[in-house]
Amino acid sequence: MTDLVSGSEVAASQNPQPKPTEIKIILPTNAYFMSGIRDFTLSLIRNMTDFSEQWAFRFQSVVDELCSNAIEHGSSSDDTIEIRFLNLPGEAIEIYVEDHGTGPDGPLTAEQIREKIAKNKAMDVLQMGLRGRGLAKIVSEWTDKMEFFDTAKGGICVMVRKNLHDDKFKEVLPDAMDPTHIVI
Amino acid sequence: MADVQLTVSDLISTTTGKSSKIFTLVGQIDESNVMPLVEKIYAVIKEATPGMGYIFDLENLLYMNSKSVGYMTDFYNQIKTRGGNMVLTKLQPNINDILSVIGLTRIIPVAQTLEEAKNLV
Repeated sequence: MTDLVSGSEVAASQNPQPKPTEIKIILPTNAYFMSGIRDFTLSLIRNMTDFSEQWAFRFQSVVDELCSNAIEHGSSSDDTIEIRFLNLPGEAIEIYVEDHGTGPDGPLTAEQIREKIAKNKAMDVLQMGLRGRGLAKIVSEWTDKMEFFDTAKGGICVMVRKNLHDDKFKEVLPDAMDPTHIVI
Repeated sequence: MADVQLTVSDLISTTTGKSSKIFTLVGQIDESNVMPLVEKIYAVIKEATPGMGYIFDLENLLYMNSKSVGYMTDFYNQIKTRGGNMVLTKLQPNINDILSVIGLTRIIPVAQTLEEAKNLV
């Protein structure tokens, strides 16, 4: 007797969903290494995802800002931070940056960071002082989700996600060839 | 480690006789090298005569982080306080993108060419 297989099961077996790819990097808390991380991010986005060249450069900035923040505020000079890239093929990319809370001002909480970012987002660009633009402006604008978590090790983990197909762009320009671009 | 080179040159307008400074930045600016760079720029601004114009030639600047953008904002404030003008010119697309998302291009004039920058400053 022949087993019956549904059309969708046949399609799935012939075109299996590509698996997510995760890359984890442990980085010493020294700004010296940031240029290398930027180069790696640019290369990763270009070669492993379907995001455009413009977004490859944007993720360079996103990763740089997240790591610099973790190094400067969340870490002592002899510590490490962890960066994780999670590529969900055809769907999104997620980036996680985690510190150990050993920064010079003591451990910050996720709630404190959320409040600080909300305050900076509301400020005029000329009145912000020298700091505060990285997360409030760059990371916030160039990701679809930015979340902060307190970790069991006493540090902070920040997760950002950018969807490959942004419905917000389709509303503005429904016939756009590149869903990750917006024309103003 | 990121590397950035700063060149400072003088410009005198043949039509108006007005003096300006051109800051030419080449390379990348991040946390590892921003402080020595901005100290040099602050020193030039401090020593210059009031009303001086400043052009930032960013044609070969490949990356700048948010901290360096913060300093750009402060340069602008200090220059305006001293009665001068500041213009950014020849931005790479990704630099323009960074400055735009922060909102700086709505405040500091951006020129496509050095000639255009000379007229704006």
